[in-house]
Amino acid sequence: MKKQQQLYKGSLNTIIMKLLEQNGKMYGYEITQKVKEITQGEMNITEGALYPALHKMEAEGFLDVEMDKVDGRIRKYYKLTESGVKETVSRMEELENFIRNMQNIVTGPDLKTI
Amino acid sequence: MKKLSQEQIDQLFVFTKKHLVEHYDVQVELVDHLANAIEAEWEINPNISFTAALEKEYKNFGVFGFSGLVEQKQATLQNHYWNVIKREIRSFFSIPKIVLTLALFYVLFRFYSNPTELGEQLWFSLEVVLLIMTLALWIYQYRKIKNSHKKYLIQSISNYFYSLPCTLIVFFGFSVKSNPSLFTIVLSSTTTTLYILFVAVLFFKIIPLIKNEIGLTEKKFQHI
Repeated sequence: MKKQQQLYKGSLNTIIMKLLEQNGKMYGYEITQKVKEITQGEMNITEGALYPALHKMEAEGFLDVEMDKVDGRIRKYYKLTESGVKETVSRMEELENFIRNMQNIVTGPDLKTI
Repeated sequence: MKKLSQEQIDQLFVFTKKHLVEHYDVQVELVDHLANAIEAEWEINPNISFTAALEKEYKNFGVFGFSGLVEQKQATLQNHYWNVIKREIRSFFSIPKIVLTLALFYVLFRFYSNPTELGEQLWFSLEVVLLIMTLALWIYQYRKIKNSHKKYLIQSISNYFYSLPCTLIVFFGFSVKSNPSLFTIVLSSTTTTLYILFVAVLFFKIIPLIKNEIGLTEKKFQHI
């Protein structure tokens, strides 16, 4: 499980962006729970990794924030900006390419010759 | 589903402050995160106390707790604005702005090559005035933030950038030397040119950008 977490780590920003693309706007805690739910507990985004990633993408202009009052407290929602949407498409392409290549390596017959 | 009371939410704000989070925008996000986690914990374990659930969730923030998070956010924002500064300064070394840079370098080169007594005194006075001005500006900003009811993280970034012109003067200590070598003249002209470009970019590009960001942040929180 720990080794698997390392593999997910490199794709954290792409995962967050994809989730925001699918769900419109999300808040930090919601992202951690959604990832846990989709991966059936296999992937656990820690708070120490999630917020720096969100803040970095916000500073880069890929995410915008929106505030709302929920249950007596202020909630900070993240959503993709226009450049964030474009970036998500490009990062998803890269990720799909990576997965395809890994798949080919793992299942390919020429593995011994690498 | 068991929800947090207003008193418990206030306790969470106190908890974040106690753990060195002084910026309201960061506090708000952490309070909501902790509140969600505690409420989720109550779903599974209804008998756990508020304090025990809070301590349990706080452990998930790692050994550095919230301070690591604040430092990372500050570093991210500083890096972002440093990248803008680098990009803007680079533009002064490409056409057409390079003409301005070369002209500035030439004027400074001439000035450092033939220093007169009056020039030396003027240069020193200018440096002292600039030092006092930037220091006064930094103190003004620092006090303004300190006295404001709600502090936002972006304000600490603005304070950092306001302090730079003054720090750089102290660090470089631009001075005019009598009978300078060619190396000294070129070095002084280059560092002064870069300093002037840096200050120009800082005051005409970065500070307005940060001010705009502070305004946007305040507006976002005012609407709630």
